[in-house]
Amino acid sequence: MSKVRVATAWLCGCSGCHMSLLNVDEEIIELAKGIEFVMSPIVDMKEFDRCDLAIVEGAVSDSENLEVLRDIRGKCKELVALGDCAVFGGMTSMRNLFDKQSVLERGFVETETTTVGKVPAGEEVPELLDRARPLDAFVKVDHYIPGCPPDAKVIAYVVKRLMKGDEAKLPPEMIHFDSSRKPRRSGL
Amino acid sequence: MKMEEIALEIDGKGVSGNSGDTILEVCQRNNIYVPTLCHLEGLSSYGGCRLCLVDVEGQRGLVPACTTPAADGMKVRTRGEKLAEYRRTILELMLSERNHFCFICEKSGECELQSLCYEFGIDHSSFPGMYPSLLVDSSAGMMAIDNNRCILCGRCVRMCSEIVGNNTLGFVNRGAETVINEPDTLSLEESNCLKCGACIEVCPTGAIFATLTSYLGREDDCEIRRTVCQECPMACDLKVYVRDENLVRVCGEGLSGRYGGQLCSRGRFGLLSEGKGPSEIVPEGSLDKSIERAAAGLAEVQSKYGRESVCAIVSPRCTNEALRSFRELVDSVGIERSYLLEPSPSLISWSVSRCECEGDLAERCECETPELLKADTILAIGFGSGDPHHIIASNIRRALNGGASLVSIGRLEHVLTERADLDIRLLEGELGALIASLGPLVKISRAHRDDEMEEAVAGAARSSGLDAEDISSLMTYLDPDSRVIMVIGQEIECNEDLVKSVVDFGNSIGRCAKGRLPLLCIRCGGNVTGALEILGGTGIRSIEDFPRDGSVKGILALVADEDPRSLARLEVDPEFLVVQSAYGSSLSERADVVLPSRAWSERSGTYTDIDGHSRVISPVIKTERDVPSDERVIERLGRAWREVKVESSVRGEDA
Repeated sequence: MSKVRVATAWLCGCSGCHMSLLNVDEEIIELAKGIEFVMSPIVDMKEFDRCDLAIVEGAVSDSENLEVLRDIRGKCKELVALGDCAVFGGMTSMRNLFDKQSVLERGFVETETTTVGKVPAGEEVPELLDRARPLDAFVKVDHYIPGCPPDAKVIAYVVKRLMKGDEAKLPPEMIHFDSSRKPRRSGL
Repeated sequence: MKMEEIALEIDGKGVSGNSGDTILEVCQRNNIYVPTLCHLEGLSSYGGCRLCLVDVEGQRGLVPACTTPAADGMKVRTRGEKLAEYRRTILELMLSERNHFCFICEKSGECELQSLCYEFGIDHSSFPGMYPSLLVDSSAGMMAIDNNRCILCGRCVRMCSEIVGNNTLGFVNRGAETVINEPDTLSLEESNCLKCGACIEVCPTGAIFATLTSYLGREDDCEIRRTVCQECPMACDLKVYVRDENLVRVCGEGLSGRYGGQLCSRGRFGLLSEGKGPSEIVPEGSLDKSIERAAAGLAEVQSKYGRESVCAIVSPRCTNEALRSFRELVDSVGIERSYLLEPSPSLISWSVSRCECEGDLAERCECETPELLKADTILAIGFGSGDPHHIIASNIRRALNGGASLVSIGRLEHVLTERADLDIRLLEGELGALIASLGPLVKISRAHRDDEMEEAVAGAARSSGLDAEDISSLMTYLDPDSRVIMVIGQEIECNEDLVKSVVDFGNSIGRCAKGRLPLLCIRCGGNVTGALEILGGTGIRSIEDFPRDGSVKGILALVADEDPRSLARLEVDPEFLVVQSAYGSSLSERADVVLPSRAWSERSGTYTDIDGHSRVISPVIKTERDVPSDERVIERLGRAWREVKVESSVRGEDA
């Protein structure tokens, strides 16, 4: 059986979802038997031709994020949105409550530790989008794993299902936003 | 309406309900789960969230189960893929409409919106986020409203009006811009908000939260222990959340509890503040030695200056058990003067004279708080600026919201003045005459002797110094058919004549349930009712009557967990001072012997609440130090004291 070619990427995120991915611990051995990483921030390969599965963390917040996302979408068969930022916008979309310019000023000029600040500009600097948005605002997303960060077991569950070509929609008891604490039962 | 049984078919199953039930009530009666969000048992139905939509055969479109009356023969479907799809869409719309950032929300893990999303398998939203920037109001300090997390279910609005009766919260603006706050001020601090936090308890999301206790622990992290609040005689039931023996949250018992599970700001937030922690006093050396020194010192003062030179001060925060031991002690060692640390002194004197006028103090003659809801006219007499207690005020407001009238008679403005239909301001000394004239007036009015009325009103005006017009308008609220209840506040003047005329007036307007007088007295100390019952016969007096003539040479002060700041006002400095206290204060610094006492969170025992019911207090935190109960310490002190007396009398005989 040929290995499933997997690419992972993080856009505008905190890398926490990738940390959670590493938290699958010893299960990584089993996963590695069926997986070949073609690109990931946690391995050396930064370029790839095509893959079966792309797992993307973070929201789309600037022009570079968008370029990377569209490139990955074009090369993968199935795309997984990993974590609250990629699924809902998450932490990175909290800036949407303010306009772009005031966010830039706050970050680069008004910060308490900045003496003389300047909003970076130039051709090599990616442009901040007006709003940070989840992946499915720009491209088709096939599978969603919410969570901040998603639980390692939940990530492993989805990846294993997809390796076998099974339906990977999360059952209710595996869904969590925020961290993985047990939800208060609302119903029966 | 006569209740009739109705038969329905729900999800293919034959079930029964009562006529007048909503579809939701029939479902709940029959253990059929229908998801709800804006609905909360104990509040009126609102039908705002649409999660409880059900399919009724023969009806066009779906109907909300919480507001649709069930009818005989109805065929209802509560589940199915179509309904689930609608419910998912509603939840996804809620998620996208405002800013639900679970990862920073204090409610995450306890949030009803979040739980429903999980239940319906929502792993993303099909709608783009709107990211509005809505009003966040943290002006009140201990609590905040973040409209970014609000789903406009209106539970808080209904709680504030239907249960608290204060009508502070409302919907402001329209459509997507709707926010919750006080419509005129948009600021809780500037509004008439009582900061009772009742809205926090009903909010299904993190939109209204207690800033003081945020992030300290969610329900899963905590152990929930129960006791009653010891701050005032309402003795509200408390649900205390404890994490690693630290208090992290204080809640009421919910809408099914007494008075809708309400707490006041002092209960919900005050108990977690500084000065309410575990007891701090540790006796020097062994407790036995301290008790012996205390007994010897007080007995010596007694033998030197006479028995009456020693008196006692007792806090109405003590439990009934401690108070009984206290009574046994004062009786057995011959302490004739005890003074109750009640902040509303005139009411203590009031109660004492009432007992002299009506009989035994232990025999209850005042009516119970829930009677307020049945009143047509409430007479607020002698209210102070802080009167009345939150729960009593809530009951009065609810009665007013239901159509009752409020007449305020007294010297001062108070929290309910604004709501008074008639506000009669008196000068000091005028109250007695007014009340005395009301009894006869009511008798004339109830006997329909209308011809005598005019002259009687003129007479009452002459004797009270009020305008005849004021008396006439007051009489319109006391017409023969109306149920009248008097609520006596802390600024009541105290004299025997007034007490007699109030009782006389109470008798003329008709008694309440159980033959009680239509009269409710506001007092302050947590167990003041118990204290008056237990110490009633001992000549107990208010602390205001404490003699300043130097005749007191020895004091036993059982101040329990009274606030040290209030004790600072007690300027006593006798030759020998014994203080039993949970916290250090200027009083304990002057003491010759300091004995330990438990704080509210460590106590066990019973309180008698304002209505005369016994309430059980249980410890909510465990401390490493084993502080003995007040009653044990007092018993041991009494024993030691009696032994000293026996010894000295034996020595006396020897000599």
